Amino acid sequence: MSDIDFSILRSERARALAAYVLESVDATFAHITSVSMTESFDLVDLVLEPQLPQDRVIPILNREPVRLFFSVSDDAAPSVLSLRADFPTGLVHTTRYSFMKETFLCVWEEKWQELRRSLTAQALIERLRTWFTRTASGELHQEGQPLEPLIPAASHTLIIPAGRFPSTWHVAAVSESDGIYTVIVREGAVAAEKVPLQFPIFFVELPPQVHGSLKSRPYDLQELRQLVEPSDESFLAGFADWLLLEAQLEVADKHALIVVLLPKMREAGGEPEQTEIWAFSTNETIGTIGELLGYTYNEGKRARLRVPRGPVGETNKITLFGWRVVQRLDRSAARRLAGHASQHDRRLVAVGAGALGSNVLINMVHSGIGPWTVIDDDLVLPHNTVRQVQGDWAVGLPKAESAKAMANDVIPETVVSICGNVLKRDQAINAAFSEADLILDFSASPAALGNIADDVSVKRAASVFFNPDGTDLVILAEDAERKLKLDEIEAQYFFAVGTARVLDGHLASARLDLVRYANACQDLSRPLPPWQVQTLCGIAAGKLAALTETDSSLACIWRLNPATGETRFLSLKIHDVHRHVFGGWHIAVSQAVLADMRELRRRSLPNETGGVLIGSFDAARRVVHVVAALPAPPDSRQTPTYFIRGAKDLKPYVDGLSARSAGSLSYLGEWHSHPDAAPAKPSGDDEKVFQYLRDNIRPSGFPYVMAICGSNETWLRAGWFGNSDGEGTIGHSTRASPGVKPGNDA
Amino acid sequence: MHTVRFFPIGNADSCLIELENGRRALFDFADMRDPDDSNDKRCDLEKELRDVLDGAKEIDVVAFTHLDTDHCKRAKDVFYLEHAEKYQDDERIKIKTMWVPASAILEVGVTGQARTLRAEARHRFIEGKGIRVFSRPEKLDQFLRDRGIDPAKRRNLISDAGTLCPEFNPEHDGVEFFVHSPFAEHSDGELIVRNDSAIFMQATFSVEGRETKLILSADVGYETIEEIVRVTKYHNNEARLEWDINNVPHHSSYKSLGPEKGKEETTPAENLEWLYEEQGRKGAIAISTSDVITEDETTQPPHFQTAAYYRRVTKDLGGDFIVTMEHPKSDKPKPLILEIGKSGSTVRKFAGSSATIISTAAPRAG
Repeated sequence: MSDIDFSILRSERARALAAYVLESVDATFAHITSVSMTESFDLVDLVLEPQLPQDRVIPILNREPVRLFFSVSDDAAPSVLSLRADFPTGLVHTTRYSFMKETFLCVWEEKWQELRRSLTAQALIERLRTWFTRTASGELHQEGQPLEPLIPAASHTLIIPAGRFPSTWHVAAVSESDGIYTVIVREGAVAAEKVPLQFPIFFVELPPQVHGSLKSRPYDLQELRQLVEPSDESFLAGFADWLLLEAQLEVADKHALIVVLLPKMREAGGEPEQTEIWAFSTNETIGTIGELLGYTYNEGKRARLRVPRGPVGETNKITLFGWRVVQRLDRSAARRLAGHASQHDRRLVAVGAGALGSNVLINMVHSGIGPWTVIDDDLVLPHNTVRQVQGDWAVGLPKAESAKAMANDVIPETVVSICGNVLKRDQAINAAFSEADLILDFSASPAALGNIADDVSVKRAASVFFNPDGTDLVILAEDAERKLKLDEIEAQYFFAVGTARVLDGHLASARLDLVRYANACQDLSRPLPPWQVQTLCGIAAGKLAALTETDSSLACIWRLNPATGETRFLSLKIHDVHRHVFGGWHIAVSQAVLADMRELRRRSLPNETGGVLIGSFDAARRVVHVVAALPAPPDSRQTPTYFIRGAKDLKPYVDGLSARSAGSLSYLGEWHSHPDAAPAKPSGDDEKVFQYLRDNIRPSGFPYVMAICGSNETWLRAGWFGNSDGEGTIGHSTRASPGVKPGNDA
Repeated sequence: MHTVRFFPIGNADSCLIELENGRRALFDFADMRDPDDSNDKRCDLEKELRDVLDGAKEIDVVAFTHLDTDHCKRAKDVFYLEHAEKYQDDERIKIKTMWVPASAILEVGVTGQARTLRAEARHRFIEGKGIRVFSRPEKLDQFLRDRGIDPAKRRNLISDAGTLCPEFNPEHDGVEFFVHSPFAEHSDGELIVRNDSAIFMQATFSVEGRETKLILSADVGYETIEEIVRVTKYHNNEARLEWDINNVPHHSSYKSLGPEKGKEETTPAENLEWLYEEQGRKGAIAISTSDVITEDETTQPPHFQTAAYYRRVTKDLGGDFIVTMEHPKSDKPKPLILEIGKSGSTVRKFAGSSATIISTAAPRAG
């Protein structure tokens, strides 16, 4: 090593490398065998000792000789050339430069400007050693992988449409930066004057190849011919025909782009399973290629047909430069890149394209989730643009239409829109509802929620809304079998809001006189910063994306602290319900109500006990939800033969529930227990209680319910102005039966 | 992944095997370094061992292939010995099972380290626990009868050549140890030749169906290896002499390869040629536990001619020949670590960096 003259090295980087190898205290597993120079490069030959397993997928040796080309001006990453004559170039990532015959190793994936920031001498040696290690283990090049997945990021790029490959190829746009071209192609023709830099495209499809049979891509026109001609003798003739088209003849000074499709099959004679695509530019102009093939001669910037044809020259002189080919995203590719679990599309409906709907929609479309139907009958107003995805351009346009346009800009053909209102159904809305896998209600309208819950054609629904302050996000979702309907989950959510300390203040600023959970986004008097909307919408998009892949119901709340950005997650327990359908109306009793009554009864035995029932109702849809049975107030009288409910502290407590739930929860009636010996049927006294409820409540228009909890079953009777009373029993032996339990029409 | 570790301790042996399930076997312990010589590049073996053990105070098996100093130096300072209180304190490393050749018990007139280890081996053998003795010469039975012990009662502690050691099994440990030598006759002559009565073993590791075979050949001479090959072939046990890793015998001494040293390259005895050239598997590695190999003509091993042979053979196999005092480089040798995995063995080649600096103490700052 002493006879190596390191002083000839001009590149700082080469000198640093030499210093590392020569002076390192610890083993470098590298030694330099010689150095030399060209006009613009310092060349360092070294032998590397990578760490290698005994069994190797690619035959890398314990000692690999390489030559490093250090650009004296340090304007490019060092090129790495294997000095081993039998280096398995066909098996590993390699690249060829037009100006050199040798094959270089594709070691760098980064751009030089990024790489140089951290590329110390040791990092360079270690990168090379690691490259050999990974190559030996087969990590860098696996069967079925494209031959050149690691075309340097700095190469020219061809962007092609999503989905199937085009049958005709037209350049739609070309841009150039630092000598690197990005060319966008599409299937339909483009007016020539709209494309400033022209790249005529010649397209060829190779015969199907068995996976792995092709070890290397073609590097010149001759190699390409050798690949194609065994099965398609007319390749060159086809290329000539293309060259002789007027479109090519008149641009003889341009460089052609050759696009090659390579269908791949698992075994010989099988069906092609996937198609690899290559794109090449050539070192010669179209005119020069035509001359070399003997078809044309050049006259200025134009080529002319040569008659008779000249001899075909050496086609290996037409070098092919590999381009990076990038396919536009479709939903499936977007899902893969977004890390979304499903391979499949899900049909979704968004009800509402306001702040919440538009943001969640765009986010989910970015993840490839869809297709969608967006329903909204509102127009974009100037103030909407603060919180919605739409900008000033969309003011005055329908929200659904403008959100659709933006979403389809993200991934084409993903969203259709309906300018309509779910509460005023038309055929289009009904069709969208019945076809959807999941309806997402972003309307912040309890009426819309109820409407969706009642629609038996719906497969599954979820409702997403903010609390009035815009700090909390709520997602309520049905299970995939729809054992629980959205409104039943909503009623339980209200009870949680009414009772759970962790939800203090959740609905505190709701306007009790107008709506139950006010739509924060529509309330102009309360500023709501876009970051808050987007943060919560981002969370919603993530949860809803996951929801499309799971079956269970859920009720979740995220509480954002606007001062710190901290978000607290709460998952509410949801209980199954027992439904009693009466003529024209129905009542749903949560399993929690039954469980509580039975437990309170058991603790009081042999005495009777009781209390009041709490719940919500929808007078328009004629639905009553019983969500809680409260224990007996302390001044109640509990004996083995009767129960008289007291009233101590009861009203403030129920008023509190009502206030905390934005007026949703209210008193619904009375319950009491019967001892073991007595059936769960109303006694004479009990009939008087029900009559008392009827007299006092019925005229006011509220529903009223009486329940008797016995040892084996619970009996209930309910009434509502304008309807006949209903009566039914719920057996205790049955565990939470989620299905509809027919009641008796009284 | 299992690991096999050889230490740079000059012309001396110590090989630590760590199994995926955490069990360990140590073959020989010879802490050769001269702590007063700052130019001594041999490692502080006790420290290296304790670092690897990471606080553990027991090794499942410690084998002393024979009782030469270059195989057991300072063992009595480091290990907890059952036979005398002065070798018992909390810091010492306990030996769950000690493996020794019968000669280690039977040899007479020994002194120093060897005498202490003989006392330990005899104690364990007489007590009937914590020991495995290799080969059963007649003298061993006599040794027991002299002490009023029925030899049949100690039979379970003795392994004959050609058997597997019961301390490890493939299902639980992913490894089995097959003992090739010593034979009984090695210790039944008038004069016991330590080197030839030493333990010669093959360990077969298995990871996801890939077997990796390690031969540990101590200091046996070529005649003994010839005999081992003959016997193995006689029993059609050729697979038991295949190797992916070969700790070549006696620090690359020509006497363990053939009768003549040779000029450029030692010519192996016939059976040894078969052992190295036919039985080495693709990518196999030979390891010389020895000093740096120079081109100087020397009496003591390592002999460069012998090393040249191993080097050529492993190159032909697509493998490598590694000298412990030259790895990873002669002026700063470090323990040689082989990982045993589903792709066979991998020599760990970790280039030093700040990771090495922060994993050791910094020099004193003024």
